Amino acid sequence: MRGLPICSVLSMLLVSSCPARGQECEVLRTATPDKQLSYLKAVKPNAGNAECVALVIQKLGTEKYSAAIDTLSGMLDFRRPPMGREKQGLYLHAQGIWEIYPAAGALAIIGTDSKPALLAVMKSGTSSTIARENAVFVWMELHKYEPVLGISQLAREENETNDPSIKSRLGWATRQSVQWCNPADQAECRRAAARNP
Amino acid sequence: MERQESLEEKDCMLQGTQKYQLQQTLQPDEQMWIDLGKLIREHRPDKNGNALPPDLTSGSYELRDLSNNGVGALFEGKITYDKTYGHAAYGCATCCGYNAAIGWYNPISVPVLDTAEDGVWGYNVCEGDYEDTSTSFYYNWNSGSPSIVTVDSYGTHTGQSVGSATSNTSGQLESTAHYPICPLKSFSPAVTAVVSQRTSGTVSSDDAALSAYQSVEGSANLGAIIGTGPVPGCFIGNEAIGTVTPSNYTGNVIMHRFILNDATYENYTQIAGVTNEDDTSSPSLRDDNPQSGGAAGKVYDLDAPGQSPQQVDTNTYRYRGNFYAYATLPDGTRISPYYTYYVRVSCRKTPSGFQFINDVSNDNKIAAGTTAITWNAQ
Repeated sequence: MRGLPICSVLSMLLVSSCPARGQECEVLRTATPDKQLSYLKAVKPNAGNAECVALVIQKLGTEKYSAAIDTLSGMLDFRRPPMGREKQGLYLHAQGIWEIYPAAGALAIIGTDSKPALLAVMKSGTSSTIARENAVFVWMELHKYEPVLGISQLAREENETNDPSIKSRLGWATRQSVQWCNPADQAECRRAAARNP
Repeated sequence: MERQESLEEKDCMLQGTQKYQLQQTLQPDEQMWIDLGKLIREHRPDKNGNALPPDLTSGSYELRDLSNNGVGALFEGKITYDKTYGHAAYGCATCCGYNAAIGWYNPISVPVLDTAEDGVWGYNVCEGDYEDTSTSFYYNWNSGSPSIVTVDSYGTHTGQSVGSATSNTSGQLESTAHYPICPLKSFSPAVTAVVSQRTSGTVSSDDAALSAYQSVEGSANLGAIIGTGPVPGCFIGNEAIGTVTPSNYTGNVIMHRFILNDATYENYTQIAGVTNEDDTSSPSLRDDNPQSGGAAGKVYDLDAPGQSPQQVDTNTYRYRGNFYAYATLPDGTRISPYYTYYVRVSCRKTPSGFQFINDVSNDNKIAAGTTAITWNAQ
């Protein structure tokens, strides 16, 4: 089903005829989360639908729709295009991973239920580097106020696996996670990352 | 003393969405025995008519002292005598506890010579919701201006004359912690905050969003900066600070930002603008925890509005905007006055990179107050 044109998907889900692209997004904006998720599962992001995809991802995050976690974790490397006044070069918010990669923001809002899916992305040999980087960011965002705990959990996952390739990828993720510690916590974070019980 | 105890059995296979609840009144030193195997085998309904599924093999449970949500007095023990059809593990209970307390009303309206009740909600971390904990805050109510409003031991306010006043109370609730420590903790629900702003130097070291800001802007510097992160350009980095009272408040406080009005220009021609639009930062750039990093009562919001011209040309891209910032509790209750400020930016993309343009006096700055949103800020 993945890869169907956006109009076909929407026709099946929401309307009987294919509306103009702007209308499609408007329909999705007020659709139920399960319909938004169905859209996301079916659509293949491209330049023509990227704004709509980003909008739906953001909505599912705002709704804290846990059923979307697996789909969102598969879109961690989806970079949204400039939207609204950003197209004219105006950026009102600092553009971090949260802003640029909407699935990262959505998973962080959904919360700790996302952790198993984030871990799966970090372990996977088929995840892109950006997806794995962003999975680490979300993981650390979920441990924003306890960064050492977040890193310790990653290090433990690394130590507990016997698969050399997964161990290697988790080791990379653990090292990456240290960058999300504030300077005051860096030393303790590094120690947690290096811990090898 | 009479106490009521309730045991709740949550069906893990249903993601904790269904509960099996038993309730019993206990006399002092009396015990309540619950044989889970028997309850399952005999399909015995709970107080709501729900029965445990016959194939249930594992689950979690909660104990609650219904008559006292402050300092509970229950002690739990368990015996495992048959694991043929299920699982059991020895363990000690952890305390659910409360991590925040807020007043029912803030502000509260009290008619002159009439009364209005106030109380305190406590946030139960196991239930993920606020509960009425007012009784734990009895006898500590005070009025800051008794000539305007008086308040009795139970939070009943009586208006005495026209005016505004503050009242407060404090109390002790069981805090959140792991066994064997279930400490009492003092809460004072009358939370307020004052908003200020840092526009120079570097991001505060106790701001939990510091690393996120650094990754975005390429440095921790505030003020007029050339951002070198994922979206480079001319930005005005700033850190809004909510200083919370009491400083030992442990609940979350969220900094919000709102655009009063703004305008963007290409040279001298306006190309866009908005009025009255929420501009609150993503959680990634906020620190909502007033105790994180030793902040001792400060919450933060980092922002860096500005221009990132798409192409190299000789045009100047300008932004003029008026904002206000304020602090709220998680339920949206505003607890601070508004802090109004403005931002001006003029930027150009040159072959060697982004440049601030200063053909307008006092451009590329952020300050308290408001600005004209014309191209020359006049």
